[in-house]
Amino acid sequence: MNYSKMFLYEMKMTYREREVIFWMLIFPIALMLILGFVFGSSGDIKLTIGVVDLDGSAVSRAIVEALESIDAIEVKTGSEDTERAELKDDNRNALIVIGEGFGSEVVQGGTGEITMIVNRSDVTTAQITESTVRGIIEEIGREMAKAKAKEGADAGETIAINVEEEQDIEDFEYVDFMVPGVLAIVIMFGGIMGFSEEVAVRREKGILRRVKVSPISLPTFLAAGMTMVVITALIQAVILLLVGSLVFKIKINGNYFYMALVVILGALSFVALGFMISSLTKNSKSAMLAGNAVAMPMMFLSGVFFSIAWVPAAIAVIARMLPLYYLGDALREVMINSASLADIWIDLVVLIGFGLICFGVAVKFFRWE
Amino acid sequence: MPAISIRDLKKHYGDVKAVDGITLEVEEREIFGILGPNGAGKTTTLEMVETLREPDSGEIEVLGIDTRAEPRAIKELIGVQLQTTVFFDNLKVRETIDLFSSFYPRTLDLDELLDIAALADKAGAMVSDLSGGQHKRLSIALALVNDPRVVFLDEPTTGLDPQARRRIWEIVEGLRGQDKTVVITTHYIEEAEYLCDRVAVMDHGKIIALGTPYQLIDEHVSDSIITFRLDPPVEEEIVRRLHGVVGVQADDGDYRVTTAVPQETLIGIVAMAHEQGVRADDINMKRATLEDVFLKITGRRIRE
Repeated sequence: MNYSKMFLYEMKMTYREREVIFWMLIFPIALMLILGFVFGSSGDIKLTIGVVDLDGSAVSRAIVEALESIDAIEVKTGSEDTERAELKDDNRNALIVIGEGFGSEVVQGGTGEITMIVNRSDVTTAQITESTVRGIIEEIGREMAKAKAKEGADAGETIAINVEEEQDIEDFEYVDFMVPGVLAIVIMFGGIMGFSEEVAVRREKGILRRVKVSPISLPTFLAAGMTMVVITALIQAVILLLVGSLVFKIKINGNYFYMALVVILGALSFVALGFMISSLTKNSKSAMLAGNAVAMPMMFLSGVFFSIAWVPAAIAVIARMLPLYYLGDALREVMINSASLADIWIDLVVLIGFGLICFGVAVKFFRWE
Repeated sequence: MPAISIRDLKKHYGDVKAVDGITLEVEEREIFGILGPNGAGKTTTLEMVETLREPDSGEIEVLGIDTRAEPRAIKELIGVQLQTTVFFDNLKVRETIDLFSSFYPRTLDLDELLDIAALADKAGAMVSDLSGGQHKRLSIALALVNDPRVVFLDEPTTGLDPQARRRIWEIVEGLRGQDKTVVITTHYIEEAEYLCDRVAVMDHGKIIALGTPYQLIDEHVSDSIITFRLDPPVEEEIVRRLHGVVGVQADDGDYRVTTAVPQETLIGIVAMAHEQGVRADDINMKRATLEDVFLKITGRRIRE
């Protein structure tokens, strides 16, 4: 089987190149980490705490005011239902519910109970939230106990905090957006650069001519190289998702088979683009330049770093004309939002169509020398 | 059936007639040379036979198969060493041969190929670490992976030092008697004379002479050259009167004579030296070469 052997050697040739390892693995991971750390967390932490005051007594109002007076905390008040819904939508770091009769219990010398529900979607923030809020409330409790002690009353515990867990939070953060985006970029670069320049270099050096005088067919020869790019994309996907879930705790909810399918399809689509570039350019140098000229703007314009909802309308229109947008969208939908293939049919159709057109042009203009 | 049969082959590049009507037959099991200066059309001719280039007109059959009708069948039967030898990057010698073997349905054993190309001790080396001669030998090994019936070697020794060239010649010599036909292009006279059963001399896209090296020399260059030294010198006229001499150049005791009958002239020189009582020294008879054939026909040297 000449295909499998050619494929095997394509892998060997590629992975023996140290530069390739850098661009394939180190660079994507670095890109992801940089983006995640720079844009993922917003510098100084501002906690948004929902407070539901069912008591309405002087004591409970004092607690709300104490919380409001702290700069790092933004207090939102509302009904218990709305606040719980906001928490579920990841718009609150924690929710404090001061139950009915809290004030009178404290005044009568008993222990008033407060329920705190912490948003656990982000572990670090959750810890900060819990300890901050707990510290503030306990401080208030101690002040009250001191006051009572002066009056000669019993100086027991005044406020007890019950912590309630809320796990089922719709957590959608920048990293969830960014990780599939970086994966899309990596697949695009791998497809365009991994192949176009290699084909051009082989043509330039005359290796393609040597292959041409042997009976191996062009499709077999090219398929081996393309498979190499696809396998590489899958390896990159696994590594990026691993790093993404370890470092940024992104939650991968999607079907792994669908994810693999989108990765393979994306890789093939962009390999076809790379192949077309190599067919249309004069030599390896111009192939590389053209590849960069295509890949770079696409990387920034396709809404893979930032949602196109956040960019000017004109750029959003351009984004929708670029294949990378559809790959990023498909990856994000299946990975984070557990989409089915039917949900992303537009993305799939665009990627397949784009790939086929590029491949057709590439074959038509292919030159052995 | 001839191994290769070419009829009125033509290929133009713009106004340049790279190959201008070649008709030629190469016999089976023959080592056939195409000799000529750079740009004579040797490589273009070869590459049309190898199915790499499309002829403008003419017919080519290899082992009775029309190359244009059945290029794939031809590719399985021939082995090709291209003029510029390049290999895939980042592969070892053994891997390179293994990879090219996978392109063919029928192949020779890898170790046998390494032996033929004298590369067994380099099997584990990266191709990028090979010397020029090893590079060429690897490309010959690749031309032999499919145990081809016809082998094309395009300038297999260009740019090599004499020792490396010798090793290539040994490999090509080894192919003789292996039921293979070898077609070799070269602009080295010695290579054509040493290796080839028959030689086609090409110039400006045409074959200007065809035959065994001996035939060609015999047919085109009848004169031989004898150089010698006389101490003390004698008069030029005495040398000129020797039997068979058609031309003399004398330079302070050094003589260079052209003769149609070298053997008689040689005897004459020795006898004359004896008669004159002078010492004859440094007597050299220079055999005519294919270079002289080329010079005679075109008025130019092959390598300028």
